[in-house]
Amino acid sequence: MGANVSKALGKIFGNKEMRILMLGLDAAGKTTILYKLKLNQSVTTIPTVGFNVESVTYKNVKFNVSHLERYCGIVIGVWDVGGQDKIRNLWRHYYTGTQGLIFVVDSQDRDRIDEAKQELHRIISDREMKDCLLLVFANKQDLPGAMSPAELTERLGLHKMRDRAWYVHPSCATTGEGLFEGLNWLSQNVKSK
Amino acid sequence: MSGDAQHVQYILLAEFDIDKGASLTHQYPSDTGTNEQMLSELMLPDGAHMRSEDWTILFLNQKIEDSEKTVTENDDGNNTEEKPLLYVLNLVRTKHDVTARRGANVRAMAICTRHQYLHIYKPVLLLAMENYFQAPSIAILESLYRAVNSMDLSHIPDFTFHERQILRAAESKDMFEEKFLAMEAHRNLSNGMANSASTDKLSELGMSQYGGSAMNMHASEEIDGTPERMRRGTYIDLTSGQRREMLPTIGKDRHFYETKVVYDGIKLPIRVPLTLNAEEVGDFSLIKLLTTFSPSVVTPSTHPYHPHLDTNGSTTHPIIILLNALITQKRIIFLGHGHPSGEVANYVLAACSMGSGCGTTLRGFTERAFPYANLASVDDLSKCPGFIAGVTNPTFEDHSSWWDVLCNISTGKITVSRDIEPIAPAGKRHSDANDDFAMGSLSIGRASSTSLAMSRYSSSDASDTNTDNEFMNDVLSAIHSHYGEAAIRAKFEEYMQRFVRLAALYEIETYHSTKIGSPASKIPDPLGIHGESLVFVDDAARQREVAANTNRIEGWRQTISYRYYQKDYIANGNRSVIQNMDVYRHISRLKMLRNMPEEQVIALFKLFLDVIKTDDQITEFLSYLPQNQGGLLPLGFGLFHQSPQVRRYTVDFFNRLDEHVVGRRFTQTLNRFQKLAYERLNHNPINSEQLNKRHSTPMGGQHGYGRSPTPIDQY
Repeated sequence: MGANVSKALGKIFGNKEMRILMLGLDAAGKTTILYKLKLNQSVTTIPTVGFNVESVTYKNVKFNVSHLERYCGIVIGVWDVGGQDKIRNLWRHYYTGTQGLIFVVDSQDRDRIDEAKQELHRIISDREMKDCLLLVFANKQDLPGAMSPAELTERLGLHKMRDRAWYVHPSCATTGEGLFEGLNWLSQNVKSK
Repeated sequence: MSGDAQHVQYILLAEFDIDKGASLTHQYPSDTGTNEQMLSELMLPDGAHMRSEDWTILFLNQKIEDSEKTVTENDDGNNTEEKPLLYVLNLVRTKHDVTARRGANVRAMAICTRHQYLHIYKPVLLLAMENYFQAPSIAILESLYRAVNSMDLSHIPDFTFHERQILRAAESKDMFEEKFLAMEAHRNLSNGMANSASTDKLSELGMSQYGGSAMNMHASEEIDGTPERMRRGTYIDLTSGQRREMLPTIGKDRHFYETKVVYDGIKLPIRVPLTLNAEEVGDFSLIKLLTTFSPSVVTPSTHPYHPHLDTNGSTTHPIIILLNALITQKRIIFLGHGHPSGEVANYVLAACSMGSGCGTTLRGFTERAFPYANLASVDDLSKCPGFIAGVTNPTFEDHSSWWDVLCNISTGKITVSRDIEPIAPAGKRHSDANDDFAMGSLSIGRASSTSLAMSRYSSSDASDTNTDNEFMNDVLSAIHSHYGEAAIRAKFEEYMQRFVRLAALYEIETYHSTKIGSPASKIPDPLGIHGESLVFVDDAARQREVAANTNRIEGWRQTISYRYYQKDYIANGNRSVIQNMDVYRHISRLKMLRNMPEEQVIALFKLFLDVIKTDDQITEFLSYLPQNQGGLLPLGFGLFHQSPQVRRYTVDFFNRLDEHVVGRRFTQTLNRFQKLAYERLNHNPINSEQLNKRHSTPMGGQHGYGRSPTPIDQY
């Protein structure tokens, strides 16, 4: 019910709604990013069993029109799905209707960057994901020896993607640095529904 | 001990591996044979990291193959190694631990049993889980396995189907008390023989503190063949001034069998429920299911009309939509995003019970139930011809091709999928098929229904009938008046029993034959002894009810539960100790018909007296008169009937019941009005003069059978 009401209000007041799927290898920082966006707090997370889903209101401007509170902005439904090896084959069930994929990479984890590349390409080659935007967070930039966005772009083979809008942005989930710039790119590039 | 005799087949342990995800760590004593990855995914439900504890119920070994194949395999008889359905009680715990990598351990332990009352294992599972967190080792599983399998159920009373129905409906705690006493006496006796000196052992086995001597006395009485006579007490019924014998009560609730499990030196009392029918697993609440999905006002639905589901048009009550979906084997999902998986599971279990008439009528629901499922189950679900599944992942809502009916427990809304297979209404396809009763296409599955139509049903504009709405109003007002779970379930039992009889009637009229009922005999029957099995108030009501049910009956005829029912119908008929009399029908006549001719009432009570004689027959007969639905009330009106003969037959029949150990509990719980009349008539027997001379009462016959408020002072 609540979702429908907000949807209806969104139509009236020009809200945009976006469905975002956040994937990445385990311990890349997906859940931390989700709750930083949602609560603007750095929470201590434990491995996600299954998924988390939260709606995040981004860039909202509040107007007071008589006693109606009016929101303009983007309501983003963000799905954060557990990343362990064995459960990655369930990722496909979340693809339907996804407009933006946030792929989170642990920039310090050089050992698993090839594994990350493989998973990323497997996701975006799915038919249901062919029109979706790709935002890569080069996460954990605060750690020593973190790969730069340029290096990650190279290692993930993003230059070969011609038919897709993609963007790599450095981030640090615990402080929140870079997160809103990433979302900004998504919101500007999403095709209005 | 053979595997079949075990209470618990397996103990499982799963944990969420930081690197790999859900993994099954231990299976004891052996592998279940179910895919390990899937098992561990189910044991660690979505969102387990968000709560410290969650109880889940899972089923293993559901029938997920193609239904056609299953049936043929059964017919060949070479399918004996088919694994029995296992019920799994699972406890998942998340413990935050700063010393652990990534800050927490998520572990789940599960008990796999064939007992429907799997919830009795909750306390012992809690203890074992705690032990496992302290010292993770397979030894914990082993000791748990030994403890739960040492539970003593050898003296649990054995109930027949009919006895169980009586017990379910009994509000007093002491129904069948004598069976318990006999079992206890027997236990005492056999223990005494085996080990007469060992009093320690007796107490260890849970001999009650009521004293072994009383039990011993019982044991000897058993041998003498005078069971428990001596222990009967006397009480004086102040309302009627009558002395009556009554059975002793020890105050235990005999709806349960009390035993214990000793685990880790701790004695855990266990109460095994004795009232569960088939298709009833766990301690779900049907009332909760009903209230969650009953809106205060039924608003017209927005989905396209579906003949199987929308049996009352666009204003069909959501619960009826769900019930229809169950009957016609649709793919049903209960979604509870953010709810504990155990809560979702209970909705699934309640739905299975509802669809089966609380286990009294249909079966084949639990074997297609997935009380908790997640994305790992999607492949299995897609192979099921119809299922009832509980999920917490809202992704399922987005995939409308995965289900036909989705019940969202957060919003209380029932949604029909836009991808549901459309089906033409049975009555509207072609009305010229009147004479063409081809029985051919009875394939099982969600295939389109056979299209036989009867022109007389073509007016199946269901919206002009509202027996279902009346039914739902009755159910909901009973819930509002705080009727208990047993009473509410009884209403669905009655509903489904009527449905299958209606289906039999429909088959006879449409296809001129049926395997689920007996056609009405052609013999002229002025006394109403034979007649068709279902009673209607009048012919218009009959037409309406059949018409309103046509589509879902056609839907049901394509299902697995219909196939089972065909088999069960024959088996139940053979098992019945009351042959040549349709008790259900005669009781419904007493309940529903308002103007039964006097000679029919006389014939009916005479029939009861002639047919219902043995103990077993009385028990079976009483099972059709659930105490929580009024018990003997419909018969009790015979005490006030204008005909002295009816009154006399009623008294004679009640006297016969009164001699019966169960029957006495029925006569004693007659409402006060009827009880006084019964006792008065017993004291002032109706003399032959009255019998011969037609005694005309001031009330006359116009008030019909069930309604005559004849004052008792008349005698």
